[in-house]
Parts: sequence; structure tokens; C-alpha cells
Amino acid sequence: MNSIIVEINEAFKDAEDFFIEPFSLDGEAVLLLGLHSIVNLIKTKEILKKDMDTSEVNHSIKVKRTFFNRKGVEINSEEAIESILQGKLIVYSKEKNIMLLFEPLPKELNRSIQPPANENVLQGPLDSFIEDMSTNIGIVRKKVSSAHLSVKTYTVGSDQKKKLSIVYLDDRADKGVIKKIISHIEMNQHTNILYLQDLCRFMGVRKWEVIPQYNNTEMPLEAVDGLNKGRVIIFVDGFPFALILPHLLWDMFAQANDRNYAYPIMSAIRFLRVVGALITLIFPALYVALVAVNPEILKIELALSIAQSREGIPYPPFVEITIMLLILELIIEASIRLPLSIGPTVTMVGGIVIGQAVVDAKLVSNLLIIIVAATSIANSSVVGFQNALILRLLKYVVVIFASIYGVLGILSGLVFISAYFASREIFGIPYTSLTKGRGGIG
Amino acid sequence: MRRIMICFKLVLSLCILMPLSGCWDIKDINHRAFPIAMGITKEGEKFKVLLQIPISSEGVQKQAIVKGTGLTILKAVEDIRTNMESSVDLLHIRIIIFDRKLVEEGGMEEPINTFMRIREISSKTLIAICDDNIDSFFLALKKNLEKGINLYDFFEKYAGWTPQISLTRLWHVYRALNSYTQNVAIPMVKSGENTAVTYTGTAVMKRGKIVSKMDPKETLLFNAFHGNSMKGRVEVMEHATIMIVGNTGFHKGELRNHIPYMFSTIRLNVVIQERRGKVSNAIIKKELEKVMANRFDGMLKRFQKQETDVFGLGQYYRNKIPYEELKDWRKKYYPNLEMKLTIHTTIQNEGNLKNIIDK
Repeated sequence: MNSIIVEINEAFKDAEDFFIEPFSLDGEAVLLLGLHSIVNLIKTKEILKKDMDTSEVNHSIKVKRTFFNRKGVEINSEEAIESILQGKLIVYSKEKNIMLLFEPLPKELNRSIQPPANENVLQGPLDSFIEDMSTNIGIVRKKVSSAHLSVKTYTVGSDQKKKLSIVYLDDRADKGVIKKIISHIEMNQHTNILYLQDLCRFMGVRKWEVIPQYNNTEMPLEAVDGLNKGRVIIFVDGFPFALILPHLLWDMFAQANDRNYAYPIMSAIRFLRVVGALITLIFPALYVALVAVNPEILKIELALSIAQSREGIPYPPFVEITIMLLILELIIEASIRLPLSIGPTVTMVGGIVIGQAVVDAKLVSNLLIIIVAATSIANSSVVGFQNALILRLLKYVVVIFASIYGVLGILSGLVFISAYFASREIFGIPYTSLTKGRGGIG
Repeated sequence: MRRIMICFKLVLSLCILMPLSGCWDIKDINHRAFPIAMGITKEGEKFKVLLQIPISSEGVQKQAIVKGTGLTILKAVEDIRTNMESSVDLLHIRIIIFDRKLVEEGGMEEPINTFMRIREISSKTLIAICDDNIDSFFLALKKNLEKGINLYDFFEKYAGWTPQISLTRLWHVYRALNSYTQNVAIPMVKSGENTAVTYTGTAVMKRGKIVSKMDPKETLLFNAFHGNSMKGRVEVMEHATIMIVGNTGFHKGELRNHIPYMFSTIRLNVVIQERRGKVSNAIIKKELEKVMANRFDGMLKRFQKQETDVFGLGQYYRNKIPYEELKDWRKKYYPNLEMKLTIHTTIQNEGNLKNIIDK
């Protein structure tokens, strides 16, 4: 056997799905090399045969056209291994001792396009991105039929290759942002991207950055809206969502689908989301501040009823609210993690049993349960899970400030958060920018 | 190395944060007592302070009356604080009631100054004078008020307040004690037979002493002059009963030849509720205007004689009289003040009756 074949065989000695299949093309004995798990071998063979059988012209010409005249015909063993990993079929001709690359029929490893699973659409388009990158780009192409749509695909990673596409409308997108992204990709071509965290590092984002750099969305509508606003979309093969870049503060409150409703309704919904975000940040802190530090602000009637509801509770409000918020976070995490059939049980046990029992046992006050519930509901009103996550995190900052400085602490906490937001830049675009000035990013 | 420095700075700033915050002084809301009314009287040389404290308990509201004595007011409060099981802070005090005896002896200034100074009590706190024994007043209050927090409601605009009751805040009293051109009127209450509180009128003050009194009807005009709403006030006259539904006031002062002239206009919107016999709107209007004007004139004459400027008319002349002479406002200028009061009445509504006489 040829040394190249031995070499390839050696490389795949632990891969059971690797095949070397003898085959005859036009009476010429060849070997087919590939991976069962990603190549549909039977169908591929059928096509090869059919091509030759129905042909009236000289077989050898046909075969030549099919295989031996392809571009980049000859390959060496290293390239061959790489191609096999990417799902290609290698045709090895013993006589001529050359290897040829062939694009086989792939195995269907992708799900079909389905409604979004993690984002709910109310009266809007019901398709969503899937894991396969080229399908995703196809969905976008179908929605933006414009000659300006640029798609650039890169393969990155040293030992685990991954495909990465950036998509933008070249007449609208900010040239500076695109240039930066491309230069980052070119600079880091040998970094493996396994998770989005890697992508962030790769794009030069600091490790301890709280603000999400991308708006990851499952919904093509959002992605297309991003494109039209001049933003850039990154697709990573294997991730069923688009990363819209840059991600700005206002994206926390505005969704493209809102524009499918009347203007006043859209404004009201967005206003509600802003209120929701503020409630998430302020409510728990306000409880701590009013109950512990500044009860003089309360009206006397309210002060008395709060005092009554806290009668006999051993912990200071800060401990009290930390316990409850922690339980709440656990419930949220558990209901995400658990299968759908157990999720409701957790909700019931957490919400009703613990909620009720914890009040009866005088561990926390009634009012606190209301506050915690209101907070968690308000938290979910913002757009995008990654945005809800930052609010979830930042509310603790305000609570800590409030427990030390009271109402003044809430204010300073909010100022602190605002200052932090205002200090952030994403690819040269300020995180808090709202205007459409800079290349229509807003 | 850089990372260690950042960690060090973080720890340092957290260490600084803790001692600077003062958060060890924080007392939770359920460990505090919130007195809502404070009574002040004097027993010999010592001040006696009574606090009405609502006690939170399951179901019914309960009140506690606690007393303390001391050479100063804060000493008396401290006396109470020592003996209470929860911390007493005066942050929620809504009303301070002075014993009439204390006021008549001129002892009001010292407590008011204290309250303004300590900052613990809101300057919006209401001030009232108790017309009978303050001990029995508070006891009666406690008996009557088991259900709620109601001495305060009596003065609350959205609750029991009516336009005949004057509202005087702590800062009003403090201002009057230090102002050349304005005096203050303080409502007087005593415990009632059927209700918790009976309103007996308004004390007209001069330098912390009572010099005259306004009855409820006069207080109404006093409130109207200051632009406070007279809404809902029913006025019974010879020929009709009307209800005042709105009022505005406009005042202008002029100084001619060292004699202050005051031009005031009060506009009343009224609704006719009852008519006796066949009287026209014009007569009712005239009657109302006359009643009001006479009442006002009587009041002003009385106050001018006593040199007490509860209406704060001097305020309109502060830019017309040199500052050095302002302190003589009450003596030199105020008694000579000429008042031109015009009352405009608009009859808004005569009810659903059709046969209206309009002559």
C-alpha cells in the first residue's frame, strides 16, 4: 500500500468511522476515503454510478470531468486528513498514485428550521437560526435581498477548525468596526473558538467585562434589523444564533419585532421595559434602605405596617434579602437546568412552599416576598437573556450600597452603574450611545 | 504584580468603606418606636414631654402614651428613651401639642428653637395648642384612638381637615418668632365628648404669646386670604345657603406717605344650595360679599389694635420699607394700614331647579 494511505490510516487508527472503500470508476480501481459519520457513502456511490451509466459520451471524459479535472487536484497527506475531517471524500487512484478531493453528499446532521426556542415571538416571523452556518446565512440572504450584503467567511483555530462568517451591508455598516473585526480575526487565526467566551477574548474584550459585547439572537428578524441599522452579524458554525455587534444599551429595551405594532403601543412596551430594569435595580435596595437605614422617609402608616410585618424577624434586612434573592437565583438556575417535566415542580416548591413557609417561619417578612417577586418579574421584562443577566448581577451592587448608605447609597449605586455603562466602548462605539450619528449604529 | 496591586487596592477601599459608613448604628424598623404626637408642658421648672406611640401588633392598632420629665425637652425625651424597650426616634413626629399654660407663660420659644436645631424633627411638623389639661387630653386621645393614628388625620388634608382649621407648621412658628413682618396663628384643640378632638379656634400669637383668638369662621377667611382652599365650606346666610367650591386671592401693597395701603381681591366660586323665599342671585352675591367683608374688617381691626400681623401683610412691604425701619412695622406702620378688600363672587351652579328669579 502506498505510504500516503498508510499515513492517513495511521492518523485515523482510533476512528472507527473512518473508511477506506475500494471502488471502480470507469474500470479504474480507486479507493474512497472518508468518515462514515459525516459522509453519506451509499448515496454518494449511487450518484457516481448514475453519472457514469447514463452517460452517452466516453466514460473517461465524464469521469475526468467529475473528478480529475477539479481545481486543486493533487493533495498531500496533511491536506487530505484535514479535508476528511471537514467532511470531504478522498478518491485515491492507485494507478496514477494521486489523491483527489470530492464533495460528497453529507449526512443530514442539522435540524430543520424551527420557531425560536429561547426567545418568544408574539405575532412576528416564526423562524430561527439553526446550528448550520450556511443555512443561517441563507435565511438572512432570503430576508435581505440586496446586492450590498457582504458575507466573509474565515476558518479559524489551530487544531479544531471552526468556520466564522461576518455578514454586513457594506453601504450601511461602519467601516471602522468592520476593519477592526477583520483585523482581529486575521490576527488570531490560530486561536480555537469553542465557546463565545473564546470569541470575546479573540476580539480583544477584557476578561472581567460584565457588559455583553454581542447581542445574540435566535431570530432572523432581529439580525436583519441589525444589518439595516449598520451593525455587523457574526455567525459561528455550530451556534444556533447570530451575534449582532456592537451591542448597545438601548438593545436592552428595544426589539425589532416591536415595530410590528402601532407606534404608541411600541413606545409603551419599551417604556415598560425601562421601568422593569429600574425596578430590578432599585426595589431590593429600596427595601433594605427604607427598613434599615432611612425609615423616616416612609409615611407613618406604611412605616407601622412594615414594622408589623417584620415583627420577630431575627435578621437584618440585608441578610434577609440576600437569603431570598439567593433562593430565587437558585430557582431560576434550577428551572433552566432541569428537564421541562420537572421545571414546574421546582417552581411550585420554590415559589409556593418556600415562599409561604419562609414567611410563616418568620425568616423573612411578607413585604420582602412581594419585593422579591416583583423584582424577578421585572427582571424578565428586558430584551435578551444576556441583558437580564447583567441586571441580575448589578442589583446586588445597589443592595450592598443601600445597606451601607441607605437611600443615598441607592443613588450612588445607580450613579456607579451609569458611570460604568458610560465608560464602556464596543469596537469604538460608546455603549450608551443612542444616536444614529455614527454610521447609523443606534 | 499588577494584579496583586489591584487586589490590594480593592481590599483597602473595602476596609475604608466599612468604618466610614456608620452602618453599625442602623436599627431595623421593627426595633424602633415611632412617636407621632408629642405633648409638651411644664411642671415647675421641668419640662414634661408626652409621646403617643402606636404599637404594631397583630390586628388592632394600639397606642401607648409615655411620659418623661427633664430640665430640657431632650432630657425628657432621653428619659423616655431609657425606659423604652425599642429605640425612640422623633423622625415621624407629625404633630406637637403645646400646653396652653406653657404658651401663655411665654415658654414656646425655647422648645421651637430646640426642634429647629436638632434636625431630627421635620420642619413640616404641625403645631397645635391644647386648650385643656394636656395629660387628660392625651389619655382621652388614647382611649379614642385605639383604632388608628388619628390626631394627625384630624389635620390631614385628605382626611379630616376642613377649611376652618388652620394648619401651622413648625417652620411657620419659628419664622414668626424671628420675623419683623409676620405673626402666626396656631390651632387650638381639646378633647371632645363624642369625637377624639374638638377644635376650639385659632390662637393668634405675638412673640410666642397668645394675644387674641379667631373662631372657626374667621379662620376660614384667614385660610382663604392665604389661598388655601375653602372648598366644600357651607356658609349659611340670611337668604340662602351656599357652598364655596373654589377660591383664589390676589394682594397688592402700596406705601403712600408712610401709610401702607393694601388692595386685596378674593374670588369665590359658589354653588347655591338652598334659597329662602324669592331672592335673586344678585342679592345672594351681595349678602355673601358683605358678610365676608365685615368679618374680615372686624378681624383686621382687632389684630391691628393688638399689633399682631397674622395675615403677614408686612411681607408685601418688605421691599418698600427700609430694612432698619422694618422692625418697627408692627408698631409704626401696621396699625395705620388701610385695607381695601374686594370680594368677587361667581355663582357657578344653582342646582337643577328651573324657575330661577334673576332680578
